[in-house]
Amino acid sequence: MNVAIVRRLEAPWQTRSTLGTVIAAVLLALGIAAFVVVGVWRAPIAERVETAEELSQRAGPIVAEVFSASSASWAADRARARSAMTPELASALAAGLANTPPAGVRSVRWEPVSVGVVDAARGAGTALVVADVVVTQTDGTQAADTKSVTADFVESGGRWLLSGVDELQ
Amino acid sequence: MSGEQKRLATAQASYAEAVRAERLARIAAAPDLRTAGRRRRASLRLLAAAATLTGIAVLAIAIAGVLATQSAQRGLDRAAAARDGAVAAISTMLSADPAKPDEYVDRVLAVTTGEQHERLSAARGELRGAIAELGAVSTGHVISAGVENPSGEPVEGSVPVVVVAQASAPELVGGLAGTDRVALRVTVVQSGDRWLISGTERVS
Repeated sequence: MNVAIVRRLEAPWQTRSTLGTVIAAVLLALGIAAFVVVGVWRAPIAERVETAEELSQRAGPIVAEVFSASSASWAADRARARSAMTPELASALAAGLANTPPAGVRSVRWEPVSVGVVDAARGAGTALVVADVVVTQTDGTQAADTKSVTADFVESGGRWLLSGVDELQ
Repeated sequence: MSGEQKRLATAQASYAEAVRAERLARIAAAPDLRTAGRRRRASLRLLAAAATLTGIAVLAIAIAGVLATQSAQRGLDRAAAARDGAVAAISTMLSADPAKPDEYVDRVLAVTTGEQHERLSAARGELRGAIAELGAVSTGHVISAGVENPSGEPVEGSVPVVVVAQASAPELVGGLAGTDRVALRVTVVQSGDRWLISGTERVS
């Protein structure tokens, strides 16, 4: 190591040295205190922003996953829909989810067009999803309609689950 | 020499010997003690330097956190204000009294800006006529509204808001006549402390 640095480090102790050490300790304490305070202050804001970002990405695909189904894979589609929602909502909708496919319908497909974030909090949020709903009949004819729903979501184990849905249009 | 004196002499001699031994030990230990002292001072100074650097780094991170959080909070406030502006403006556009068409046109012009404002200004006469021909007072309100892509950087200061409204005359905002619900993508722009509509587009 550089001899001059070693000599300065080993130099006799002076009032200045004590002062420097005290300042260093105070600076470290201040830094840690500021870090903790800022962390606590920013957490709820960061969580709201994160929820908004994630819902604007995930709300459309989740709603599409829950409401889309095809008669050929009806049971699997319904099982997938159940896995995309909270157990509470799944049991509330149990009757609807157990239904057999409506007669004459080959598939129902939701294609999200617009997603707006209505409300975002830590681990929960609401999105407004506008989707084109395409219903294909067994004879191949298609009918498209626009549907709007407000969908509530909760985060569970790193996944967003549909916890409530309200059809608006 | 009495036995007493002999013992005293022996004691003095061993005392002097002990003092000398102590002094020799001190002298022998001095370099080691000095080295230990130097080491202690060096490590204390190194510790102080490390504490200073860590303190500065942590403070810098905290300041960066404050700035990032302030900007995130501004984004949230902005999104909330844009949403409120869109809700208020769409409600205004959906409420028309055929008896007071001029009032309606003025109110709608007051909540629009940019391209939409110009278009409505240019078509003022037609709009006035369309309102006067409405069969009844039309009312409407927004059922739900949400900011589209809230994390995205606003394009030229405009914020897209998705709105679903209940309306007795949805054609006033570009909806289909004969329906009572309309989904819109509304572009709002900040103008002073107000948020005004610069575009509406039916989502379908």
